[in-house]
Amino acid sequence: MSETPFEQIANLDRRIHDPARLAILAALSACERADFLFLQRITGLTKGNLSSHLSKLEEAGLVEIEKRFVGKKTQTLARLSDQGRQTIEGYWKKMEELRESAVRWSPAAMVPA
Amino acid sequence: MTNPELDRIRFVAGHFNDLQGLRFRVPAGLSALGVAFLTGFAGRGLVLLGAVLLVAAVVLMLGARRYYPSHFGEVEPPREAEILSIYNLAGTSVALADSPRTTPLLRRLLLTMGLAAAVFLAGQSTTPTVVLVEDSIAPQYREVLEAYRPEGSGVVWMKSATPFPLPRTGAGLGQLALVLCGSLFLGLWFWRGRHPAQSCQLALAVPLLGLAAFGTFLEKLISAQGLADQAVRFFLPVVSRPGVALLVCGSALILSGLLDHRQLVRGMGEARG
Repeated sequence: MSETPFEQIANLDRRIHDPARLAILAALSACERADFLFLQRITGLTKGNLSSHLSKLEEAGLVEIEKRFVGKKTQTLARLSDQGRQTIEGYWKKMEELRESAVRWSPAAMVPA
Repeated sequence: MTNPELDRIRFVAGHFNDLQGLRFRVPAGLSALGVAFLTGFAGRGLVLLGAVLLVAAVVLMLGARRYYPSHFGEVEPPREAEILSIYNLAGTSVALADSPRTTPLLRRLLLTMGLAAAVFLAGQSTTPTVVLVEDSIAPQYREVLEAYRPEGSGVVWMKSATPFPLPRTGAGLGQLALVLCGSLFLGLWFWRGRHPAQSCQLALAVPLLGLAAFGTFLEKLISAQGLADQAVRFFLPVVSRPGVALLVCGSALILSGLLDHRQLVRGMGEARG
């Protein structure tokens, strides 16, 4: 028996399917790159939280982090990697399919023949 | 994380640079008001006001360049692999694309404004020039049109009579300013995906483009039977005096810039910890 939509939701990629990481990836998917302050303001995360999530996304190969000097200050820039862009687009597509599947689903589909 | 929140995040991130209304549009509006007061109206007080507005525009633009990065951060806009084929005019898109300072939205806005200006000039060349002989000018129009009477002439020209001209009269230049400004707002509304939050840009575009159309077809409107004199009299100063047209455009630019700035501020959270 194939998975129900709800089982599929439970098996979603947890690297992305997290509110904070999803917000970060959504912001980065709409631009070429963004700095740390912008990501902090747009997601509403604290500095520590954002830093932690960015590190996890970088370890997963979804995000590339670049640090550069602007005057005497260090500026951290983040951008989606190619893998990250493909992954988030695949995630949106999966979510849309899940939504349609959930709308069509009924308990009768669970009854074995 | 709800869809509207993700929608907000994606919209602000995708349009971050052009939502910075204090950086370009509000200073442009102040500059338009400044030029209007400096050139369009008599009176030392208004000239001084015009100079102050121009200085204020420069100060605001320089201040906003530091304000936005320090408060909201920086975003590099998305690169686009393809431009709509209808806009792939020979050479133009490629040249603009190579410039490091042009963004995809800016290219589209410039093309939209260019297209609108071309349509306007075509309309100006095909609709009759409004020529009002002084004796026939109704008293309520005489004062408004006095500024456009050539020296020693009893005739008032509303538009140039040369086919496909650049507008040579002040009235034509004022109407061109209305077209450029209106098409800028129309472009912002259209190229931002006709997002519901951007309907204010459309609300600014429609009256400006309507006024330009009113000026272009003025001859037909004046000679039409039954047209309310009140309506023509009310709108005539805007389409006949470039100073008044600049006041309208400048005010609209300031309003548009402030609305975008407000949307940016509301779309960004507070910096925490």
